[in-house]
Amino acid sequence: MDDFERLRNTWKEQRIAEPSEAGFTRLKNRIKYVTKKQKMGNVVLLSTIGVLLLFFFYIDAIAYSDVALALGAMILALMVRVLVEFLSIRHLKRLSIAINIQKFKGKLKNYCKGRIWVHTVVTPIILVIYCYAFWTLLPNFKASLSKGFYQYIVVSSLVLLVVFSFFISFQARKEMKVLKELRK
Amino acid sequence: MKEFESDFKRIYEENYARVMRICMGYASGDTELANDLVQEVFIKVWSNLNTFKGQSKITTWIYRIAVNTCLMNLRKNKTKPFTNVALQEDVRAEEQRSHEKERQYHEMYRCISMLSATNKAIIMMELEGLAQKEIAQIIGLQHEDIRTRIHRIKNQLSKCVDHG
Repeated sequence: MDDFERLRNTWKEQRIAEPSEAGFTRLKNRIKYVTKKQKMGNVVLLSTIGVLLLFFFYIDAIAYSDVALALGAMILALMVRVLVEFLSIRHLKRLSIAINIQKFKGKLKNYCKGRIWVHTVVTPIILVIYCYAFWTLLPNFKASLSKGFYQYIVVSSLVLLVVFSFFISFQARKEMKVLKELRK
Repeated sequence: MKEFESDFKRIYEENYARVMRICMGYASGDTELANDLVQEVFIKVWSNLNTFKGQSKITTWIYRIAVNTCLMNLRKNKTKPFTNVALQEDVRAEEQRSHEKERQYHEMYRCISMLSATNKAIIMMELEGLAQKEIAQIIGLQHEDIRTRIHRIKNQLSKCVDHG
């Protein structure tokens, strides 16, 4: 018996549990959960945008005060990032899963390239806008908040910025690794 | 709805084992991850079942979904070393024989994991005993290309098993 035949025997001898009624019930519950989660995701996103828009009008951003403009830019930057993420997840879920593997790999590669572009171009731009808007708000914070709280805001924002930058670079490297694997 | 559910249940029962084996291969023998993948595959089967027009065999269609789902999982990339709960229980009863089996499974998953994502799918379907023509249909390559690739992968795997 050659090595491959031995491998074939090992493959066939794998002990796979029989599909059980309990397993099928778990699967049905999971299907219900996934469907519900998708609906909830849409509701949460739409509500968030609604609340942010209400807030924008509530603070009368159209009055062109510096604070309102900076807040508006921060809200808009966040909204764009959330929307990009939402559209990206939706795009991944809608990839035709039953097409042949070569075609699917092509679509997955394009998706990964898109994600790398989001991580390396879109997100940094959004981050710069967000940080600039936040920086313009600092004198207002300094004037209206206690010294301790102001320092806390500045330090925690810097820490968050560093953590977030690492996270983005980690995500981009992860996508690049997958892309490399798919190109093999 | 009842008819749809009973059709789905039949498909689940008939295809569970082959989907599980494919997922185990992509998960490098990580049973927990393979179970998650199997669930993911059948969720996709459920949500796409109404698009299946019967132009190919249902198994061909399911193999495509299984491999594509596993490819998507590359993005999560969280495999753990080979652990087979059933096997671990057996170790107590037939220690020596199971140790040897465990070693063989470990060797098999290790060698499969060294292949590219597409070659993994090709060889796992070959191991499943699918006709090369059907493998070509699932992968989306010419029959000739599949034959050449299988030959090459077999050599690669044999070398891996021989030299560790």
